[in-house]
Amino acid sequence: MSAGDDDLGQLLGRLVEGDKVAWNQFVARHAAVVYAAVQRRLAPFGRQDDIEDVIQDVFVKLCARDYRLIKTYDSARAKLTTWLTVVANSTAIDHLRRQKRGNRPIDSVPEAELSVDPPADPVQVKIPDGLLSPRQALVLEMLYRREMDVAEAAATMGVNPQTVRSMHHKALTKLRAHFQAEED
Amino acid sequence: MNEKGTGSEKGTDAADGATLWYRARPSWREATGVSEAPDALTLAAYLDGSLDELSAEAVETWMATAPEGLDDIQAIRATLAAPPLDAPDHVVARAQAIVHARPVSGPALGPAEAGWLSRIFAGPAGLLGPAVWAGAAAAVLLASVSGFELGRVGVEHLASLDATVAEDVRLVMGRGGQDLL
Repeated sequence: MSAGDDDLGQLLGRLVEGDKVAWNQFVARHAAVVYAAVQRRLAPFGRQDDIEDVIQDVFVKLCARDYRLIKTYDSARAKLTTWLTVVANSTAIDHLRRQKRGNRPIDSVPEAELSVDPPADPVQVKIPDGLLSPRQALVLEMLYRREMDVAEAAATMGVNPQTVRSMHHKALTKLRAHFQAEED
Repeated sequence: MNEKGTGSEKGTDAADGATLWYRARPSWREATGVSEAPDALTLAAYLDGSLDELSAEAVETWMATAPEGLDDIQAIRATLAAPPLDAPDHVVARAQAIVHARPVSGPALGPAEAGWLSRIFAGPAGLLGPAVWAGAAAAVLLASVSGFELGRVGVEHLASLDATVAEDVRLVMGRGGQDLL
């Protein structure tokens, strides 16, 4: 929380009451966060011309329907800058989906759209429910399917690299044991 | 797996790991299903590391099963880690213009004024007789028609002054609030 956020609760309270001065302060204080999120999401797609409109969309969303979205924010759960970045990011993604065009530079296509599943294993494999936790599966997905290194995976999950190594090791141990038992 | 920093899980172990995961993955995904994207506050709490274990696991299930989940998290983390970008002044001013100052209400009538008015409009027993009431009704009708016309012109004038903001609001609301998280 920045020094300027000391009075955040008071500012948001005035804002949702329809205080124009509070709204102006809120926008002046947080436009940079919204601008950064939208700019970074749209620029790789060559949509610089849309940045200002999408920023406007974000602020319209925030105050629409009597500030419904802002009223969902809870400072006890997340920082305002993080929450605003998430909201701005999703608004930019919605915009990109609407504007989706056929010809996009390959570098701008998200990894998720490029990755191709390897050919299915001809032998249907069934692993027991709960053999891998979601966290262990996520680690395997990031390391093998996304080809991230351990540091990247750890940063994505917001954990220590050693935690990723440990989860990776446990997950592979379980899978090896399961497949070994099946073969026996 | 990229071998950077993987300790003992290098080389053939990594290839073995990939083989194991690709064998298990379809079954794991089938059993888990694709979970829904978390709401903005839950996602922000995950990014801030303030979610409880169960809620964090739900977000990580989404990240593991929905391809866009990982992309979103990576993009947002990169934005949060990058130095801030100052928004241009005109962008700030345009966003500030979305919300208008509320009109200031006039002072409430004091008991003295209210009493004076009530005496005038007290019906047949008051200072004004029935003929005056008929005239007042005609005046109200005339004022309504004129007011409607004046109001229409006024609204058009206001709309033209603030066409950009009005268009912004129309665009977002016209999408039925689909953009709202």
